[in-house]
This record gives sequence, structure tokens and C-alpha cells, in this order.
Amino acid sequence: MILSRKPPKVLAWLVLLSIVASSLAACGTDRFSAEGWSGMTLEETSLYVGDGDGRLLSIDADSGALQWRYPEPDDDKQRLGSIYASPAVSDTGIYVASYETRSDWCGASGNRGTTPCGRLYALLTTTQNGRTMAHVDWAFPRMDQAAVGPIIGTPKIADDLVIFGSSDGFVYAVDRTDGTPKWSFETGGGIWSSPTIQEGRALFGSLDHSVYSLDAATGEQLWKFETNGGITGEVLTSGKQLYFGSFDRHLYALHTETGEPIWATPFKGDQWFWAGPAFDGTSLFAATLNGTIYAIDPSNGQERWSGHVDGAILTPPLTLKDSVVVATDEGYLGQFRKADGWSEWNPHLGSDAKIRTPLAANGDIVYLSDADQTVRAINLTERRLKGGPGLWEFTTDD
Amino acid sequence: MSEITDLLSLAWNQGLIRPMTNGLVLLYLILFNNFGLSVLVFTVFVRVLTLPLTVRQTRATRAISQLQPKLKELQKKHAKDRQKLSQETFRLYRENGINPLGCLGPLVIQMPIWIALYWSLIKALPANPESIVSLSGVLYTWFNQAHAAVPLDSSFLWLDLAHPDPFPILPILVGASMWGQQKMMTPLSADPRQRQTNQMMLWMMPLMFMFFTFQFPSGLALYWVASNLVGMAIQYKIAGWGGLNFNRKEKTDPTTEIVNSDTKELEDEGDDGSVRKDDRGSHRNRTHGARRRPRRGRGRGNSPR
Repeated sequence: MILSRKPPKVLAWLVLLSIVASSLAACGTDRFSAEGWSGMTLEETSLYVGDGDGRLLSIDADSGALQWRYPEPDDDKQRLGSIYASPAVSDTGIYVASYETRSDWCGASGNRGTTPCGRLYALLTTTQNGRTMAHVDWAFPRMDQAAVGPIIGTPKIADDLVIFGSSDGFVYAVDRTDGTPKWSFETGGGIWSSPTIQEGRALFGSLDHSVYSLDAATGEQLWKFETNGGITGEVLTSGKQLYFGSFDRHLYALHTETGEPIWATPFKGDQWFWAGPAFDGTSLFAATLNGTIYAIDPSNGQERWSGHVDGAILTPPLTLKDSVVVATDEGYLGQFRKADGWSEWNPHLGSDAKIRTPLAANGDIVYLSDADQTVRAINLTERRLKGGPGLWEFTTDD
Repeated sequence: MSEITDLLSLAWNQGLIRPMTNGLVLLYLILFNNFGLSVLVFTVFVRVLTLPLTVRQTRATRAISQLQPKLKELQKKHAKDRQKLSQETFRLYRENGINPLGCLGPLVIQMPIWIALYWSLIKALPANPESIVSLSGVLYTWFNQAHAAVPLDSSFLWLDLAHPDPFPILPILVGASMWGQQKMMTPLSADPRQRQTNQMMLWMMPLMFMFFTFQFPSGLALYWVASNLVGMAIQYKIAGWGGLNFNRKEKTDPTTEIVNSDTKELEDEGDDGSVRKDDRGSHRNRTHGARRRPRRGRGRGNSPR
């Protein structure tokens, strides 16, 4: 009798709801997690790159071979969280900033672990029996202290200090040998831009719409310039002038010493300027999230030419000898002739190859890393993606 | 095929997501740069805008529920003749002026609106740098104030609306309000199996959303709470306290199943909400009213007096 009974309808509902719940939970939470888009730093023949899984890798720039990685594969608990910033390299260590979403790593930050946090790590390498290994020398804040806000911008070295901005609205300066805090400066919004160090000044933009100039040694404010939008790109300096773009779709030129505007009116683009501009000595190049790149006269802010690539441009343009290159988060590269903006090459690296990090160049070879955890060395002079000397592809989660 | 997909995607993004996201940002600017207030006002606004659909859906559902005893009778009578059963069922619906899909139509129209609102909230409240990039393409280019407002201030009361509530307050509010709304909407049933299913749904959905709330941005949870509370208010206005009236009794005889026996009739709106104790009388009145509708050529709602 019992065997002949139909399974109760409630059981079917229960199974259905469980499937819906688990799949919704899985796809839903993914949308709120941070992928990370660590940039690369080229130092001599090593390419340092972080990945979205919280690992820092050192890759041989010539061959694409892995030199070392932190943490080691059998020590994955020590991962550094999502990494958005490029590593900063000096003789005292490799500095990596994290965007941490693991609540147990955020410590007693008062947010009970529901909001992301960040730390700056100093890594040192040691070589034993021909094998190089990295370890954390110190962290700021220390692991037993509350973390700061998540860090997006690349830390910069200024004499004995490492200076970096955080999403909690502060710029921090710590001793680069032991992580001792030296000064901090609060703005009215999160700081996602990397500071620019120039002649003892730390220049950076904030999401509170302003660009600040601080004394790099003391953190004292020298001047502040306000725009109508958030600023995430790095400030570019050239002599006594600085240039930066804003979410108000304008590109500004200021005097580095006073913060006074140089152009009569700022240059207007077609969308937010996410990344900072580039300068080749003749023209300024700036790109927008609409996929448009502009060549601008730095003396008066007038447009010389503009070009377009499919996808949003989050990386500063890279200037080569005769061309300028941009990459988009839809996997396109755009190579334009500097003189007139003629589109020379527009390869598609794949729809998963979302490029959001600054490109690095070494002669003819350009290095780029994408959200699919692939680092590539390509030749923009010969316009070859693979199959030539020094060209390689490396997947960081291998 | 891909052209159709592109067209649908264009309609979805330009017709719903973009206006809604910009609407949320506009409210944020009007409401003193407070995104919590923006979510609350926008949720109420959308629920009021879709009120006619909600009312139609509730009425259609209730009308069908009220025919349950007769449907049961038909099922018993024509248990061995499926064709006859469907003919008779259809005839019963027709006689009572009921379109059996009537309760689905409004739901089908409302669902995309709610899903779009959900996505608009996610877009307007970026939880990570990747999301803020996509927001740039959603804001209208001429809406300069919106661009200037990014990133929106996500703090509201004790919450960071872009991240989950650090305390279990919102999960409890989401669960309780959803349970309340479900309870109000769940019809009484004499069928033990149906009752079991109703009970399971009554608890599973709130528990499921409570679970989500622990992981999703609290802005979404705030929207769920507001939406549930407005839903309860609408449900009360249309059909009374329903299952939240703990004085109502359930009949145990499956052949005389009484559905929502204590809910107010639509024509009673504005009354004191007193509970009908005479289930049979109440039931008779409804079916009697339902029978009269086609003859009056009304074909909608329950019997007016």
C-alpha cells in the first residue's frame, strides 16, 4: 500500500524551490563580488601581475615562463583578495594592494565583514637552490588590526614612503621598509586613482570630484581643484602642467604648483574619462568609456583628431613611436596613427578578453592582461598577436 | 533569430532598465541624495502604477478560487471522462464570466517590470568597480546631474545599501513581510494536500528570500520589504486580512471547500472589515453573484449589490 502511494506534491515543490534558490543564490552573489583587474608592472625582465584570485605572479617577460607566485599553490589560504592595483616594485619590496571580500580578513573594521576592505602588503623574495619564493614581509594595517577600505589605485613610492589611496576616502603614507604609518589625509569620497608623485608632491583624484595636491612628505594639502564628476584616472604631469579626466566628461589642464586652470575651457569628451591621459611630447591622448580616443593640443585643449574602438576604454592610451594604442573591455585593441588618427589595426582578442588594466611596453612588445586571467605579449610593430619571437600567452590560473 | 534577440535586448534596456535607473537617480537627487528614500519612493510609485494590474489579478484569482467547490463537484462527477470534465469546466468558467488565464495576464505584464526594477537597483548601486563602469552607459548623456552624482551615497540608516545588512534585521523584515503577504494571499483549503502545499509555500518563499538577503545588497532587501508592505496594503484594501485573520475557520469537508471565507467582498470595500462567520452563506452569496454576472453583461469582478 505504501509503495503504491504517489510521492507527495509538497516534495516536488520542495525540490523545485531548492533548485531555484541555489541557482539564484549562485548567480546573484556573483554579480556583487569583485573580479579584480590587476595591472602589470615591468621591472627589468620580470613582469609582475596580480590576478582576480588574489595571487601575485612574476613572469619572465621574454619567455612568458612563471618565475614565482605568491601564495604557493599549496597555500591558497594566504591569497590576497581581489587585486585591482598594479604592483609597485622597489629595492625594498614588491607592494601589492588588495580589495578583500573575505570577512575574516577584514578584521574588526566595524562593518562586521559585510563590506569589502583593503590592505597593503609588502612582499620579499628569497632564492634557495635556484628556486625563488615570495613571502609577506609586512601588511598595513597589520593583520591583527582593522583593515582600511578596499584599494583600487596603484601604490606609489615617494622616497621612503609608499603612498596609496583607499575607497574609505583616505590617502595613506607608510614607511616602505616596515609599514609604519606616517600620515593620512581624508577627502570627501573614495580614492580610486593612483597618486602621481612629482617634485615632492602627491597628486591624486577623488570620487568627491576633486583633484588634490599634497606635500608627499607630510600629507599637508597644497591645493585642491573641484570638477563636476568623480575622478578615477591617474593625474598626468608634464613639466609644470598636469592633466586629468573626470566623470563630468571633461579633461582638465592645471598648473602643478597652484592648481589654476590652463585652458580657457576644459576639453569635452563623449563619456566619462575613466583612465588618465597619455602624452608623447606633442599631443595629449585621452580615452572615454564610450570607446573614443582623442588627440588633443596640450597648449589650448583643442581636439586634433578622434578615433573609435568597440567597448569601454578603462586603460590609459599607450604611446609608441608612431602610433597610440588603446584596449577595451570588449576585447578590442585599437592602434591609431599619431599624426592623423588613422586606424592602423583593430584586432579582437575574444569576447572574454576584457582589458581593463594599463598596458606595458618594452620596445616593440606590448604586454596586456585581461579579465580572463590571460597575460599576453604581442608585437604592435609587426601587428602580430602570436607566433613571433617574444610573443606568448600565459594563463594565471594554470 | 539574433535580430529578434537584439530587438528584445534593445527594448529591455532602453524601454525599462534605462528609464528606471535614471528614475532612481532622479529621485535620489530630489530626496536629498538619499538612496534609501529613493528606493522606497520608487517602489511605492511602481506598485501604485501597476495597481490596476494587481487588482485585476487578485480579482481573477479570487473568482477562480470561489468556484473551487463547483469544480470539485465536476471533478467527482466526471472523474472518468476527461473530455467531458474539461468541457464542463470551461462552461462553468464561461457562465461565470471568468477567463481562466485572467490571473496570469497581469502577472505576465508585471513580472518584467519587477525584474527590471531589480536590475535597475543593481545598476544604480554598484557594489564593485566593474559595476560602476556599466552604470556610465545606462545614465542618459543629457542628464548631467546624474553623472555628477556618481557614485551615489549608499548609506541609509545603519545600512550600506550596496552591501548586505551586517545585522540580521533586514533578513528578518524581508522574511516577516513576505510571510505576511503570502499568508494574506493564501486561500483556505479543505484539501489536506493543497493545505500542505500552501503551508510549504508560505514558509519556503520567505525563508528563501531571507537567505538571499544575507548575501545580497541591502538596497535590494529594502526594496523587497517595501514591496511586500505595499503589497499587503493593496491586498488588504482588495480582500481584507485574508489568512492573517486568525479567527477564520477551515472546513474539513473537501466537497464543500470554502475559499477565503472571511475576506471582504470587493463591494464591501470601506466596511469595517467584520468577518463573515456564516461560511455557507458567504459562499452562496459569492457564487450567486458570480452567476448573475454574465446576464448583466459585466464579465468582471464579483457580484455587486
